[in-house]
This record gives sequence, C-alpha cells and structure tokens, in this order.
Amino acid sequence: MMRFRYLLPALLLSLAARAQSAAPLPAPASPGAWGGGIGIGNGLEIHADYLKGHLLLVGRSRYKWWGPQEGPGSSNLLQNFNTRSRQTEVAALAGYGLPVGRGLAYAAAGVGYVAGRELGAYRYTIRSNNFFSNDTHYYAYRSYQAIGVPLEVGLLTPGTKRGLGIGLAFQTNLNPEKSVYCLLLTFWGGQLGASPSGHGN
Amino acid sequence: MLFMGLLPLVVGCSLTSSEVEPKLPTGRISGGNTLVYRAEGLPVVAHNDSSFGTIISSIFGGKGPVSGYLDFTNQLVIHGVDSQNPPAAGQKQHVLHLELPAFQGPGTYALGAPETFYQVSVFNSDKRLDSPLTFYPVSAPGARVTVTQWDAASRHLQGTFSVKLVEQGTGQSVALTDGRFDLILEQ
Repeated sequence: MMRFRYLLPALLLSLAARAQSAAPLPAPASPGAWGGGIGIGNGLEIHADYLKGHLLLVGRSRYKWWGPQEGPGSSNLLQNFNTRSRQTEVAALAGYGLPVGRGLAYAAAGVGYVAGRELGAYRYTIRSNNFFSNDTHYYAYRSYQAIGVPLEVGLLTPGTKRGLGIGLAFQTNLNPEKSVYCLLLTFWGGQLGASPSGHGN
Repeated sequence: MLFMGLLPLVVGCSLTSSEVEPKLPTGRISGGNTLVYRAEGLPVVAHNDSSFGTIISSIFGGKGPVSGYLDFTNQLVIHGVDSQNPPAAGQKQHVLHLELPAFQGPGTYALGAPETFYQVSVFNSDKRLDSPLTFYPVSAPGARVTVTQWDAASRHLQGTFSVKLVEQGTGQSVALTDGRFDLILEQ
C-alpha cells in the first residue's frame, strides 16, 4: 500500500498539467454540455453528466467487489468471484465544475441507493475436480439495501480529436450499512469528453 | 446549488438488512459422495472429489471425506468429515458417524447408540486439531434417519436425517437438521 501513497497526487498533478498545457479554445455559446462514459479502478462505473456554467449534474451506477480480510479465498482477486463482498450503487449528484485550462475539476454530492452484501464468517468449501485448485469458498453474509450520500471529486482532461476525455475520480458513498471508496480512471465521451470547459458557459 | 444546500439534511438510512447463511448444496457435490447438514443452523458440508490431491491421496490408501459400507450384520455405516475446509486457527472440523442397525432398504431408522457419534474439533494456532467434543444421539424420536433410495446393484444410497445429540460431560446439546447424504457404498 505504501508504494501507492503518492499515486493519487501524482496522477492528479499529471492530469492538471495536461489540462493546463493544452491551448485554450474559445468557448462556444452553448446551453450546456452532455457527456458520459465509464470508470475503471477498484470498482466499475458508468456515468452520464451535464454541465451548464459551473453546475455539474452527474448520474452514475457503480459496482464494487472485494474479498474478505482473511480466510479462504481472501487472496487472488481474480479468482474466487463467489467469495466477495459487493455493492451496487445508483446515484444522482450535483456539484461544481471549475475549468482548469481546457480541463475540468469538479466536486459533487447527492443521494444514492446501494444494495450489496458484506461477507461475515467462513463456513465451508466446495472442492472442484479440476487439476488445478479452483475451490469455491462460502461465507455467511449480511445482505442490505440503503440510501446514502454519494460524494465525488475528480478531474477531467481535454479530449482527443475523437472526443474521448480521460479523467480521474475519487468516489464514495456514505451510508449506514457499508461505506465504500473508489479511485477510478474515467473515460468521457460526448461534448464533455471533447472539451469539458469549453461547453456550458 | 440547491441540492448542495439540502445535503446536510440528507441522512443515509438503512432500508433492509439481514444475516444470511449460505445454502446447503444440492445433489452430489463434484460428483462424489456427499454428506451435508446444519449444526445449530450453520452449514456443514463434506464431500469427495477427484482433484489431483485426492487422487494422489487415494494412491497411498487415503479415504475420501465421505464413505459408507454395509457390514456383515447388515448394519449401515456412514462417515463424513468436512476435511475439504482449509485448516485455520479457530476453524472447526466436524465428524459425523451414523450407524443404522438392520438395514433393509428405504425406510426410517433409529440410530444405533452409542455407535453413532458427532465430534467437533477446533484448529489451534499451529493448525492442529484440539481434543474433540463428542456428542451422542438422544433417544428416539430425536435421532432418525430416512433412507429414501437404495440401489443394491449400484450400491447408491440416498437419504435424509435430523438428529439431536448431547455431549456427556457438559450436557451441551447440538441439533443437526436438514441432513442429507448421497453416496456409493463401498463393497
């Protein structure tokens, strides 16, 4: 974990530098800009966004899964998919977008619904007949649904000629059942992906 | 902006929350002998498999976790241990040994006592099993096994059971419920 402690600041600085170095384009008169895309990191998300002036509206759906702290199946994230806590979130957020060069820094909060399960104590293992171990481990778990407060801060860089913007987002959903945190590399299409700060002014 | 202003008023709330125990598997697990039940509501699963490790073990005479046979007095013996669970400190291992006297095919049987027993051991920090607690069945109707299917040609046996057992020293009792076995008896 220590080796990654500077990763987030470095990525943010890198993205900010990229946003600053791009030549600013004249902002076209526009009632607002739509965009959308996906996010990949310690979770997966799809998002749709609307920017008008400094007002940013975000709709997102995120899925995250993680293994138990200890016990069978706790290692090797790419195996033992059954041995995972998981949470699905559907959320609507509103926030503030601030142009950074041709890029966009933003922060948003809102309301979200989460459904998931949190693994508890280990119970049993089903061994497979495979030559290599492919056992399935079963845990007791808590199944839940909750309403929570999603938060997101992020940075979106100017897009390529094809209109694909790349960004970085830190997300959380604060709720009484299980609050989770995600750091995602985000990909933006649409008008926002093409030039986030050049729209909606 | 309006929403941001309302944010402090939005308090997360739980809609539903329930503790879930994993279901007991159905059928023959991994195509091998299977013995499953709930001990005080918690699932216990024992089954045979044909993984590489098991094949190597059988070459050196190792028995599968679940086995059964008919002895010369026609007493049916079923033995299962959930040894497929990885040994870890605090993890329990369960042994269930059922004996049905005068086996005659499908039907309901009282368990033989004191031959029938149930043992619970706990792995210590050295991954070794501590001395087991041994439980014996309470007299009928607390100890019943129902054989639902028996094919003498293939020696395929299926059945269900529900047993209440007591540890002699402490008087501690345990209820085994939703029990099910599906195995091929040894010759």
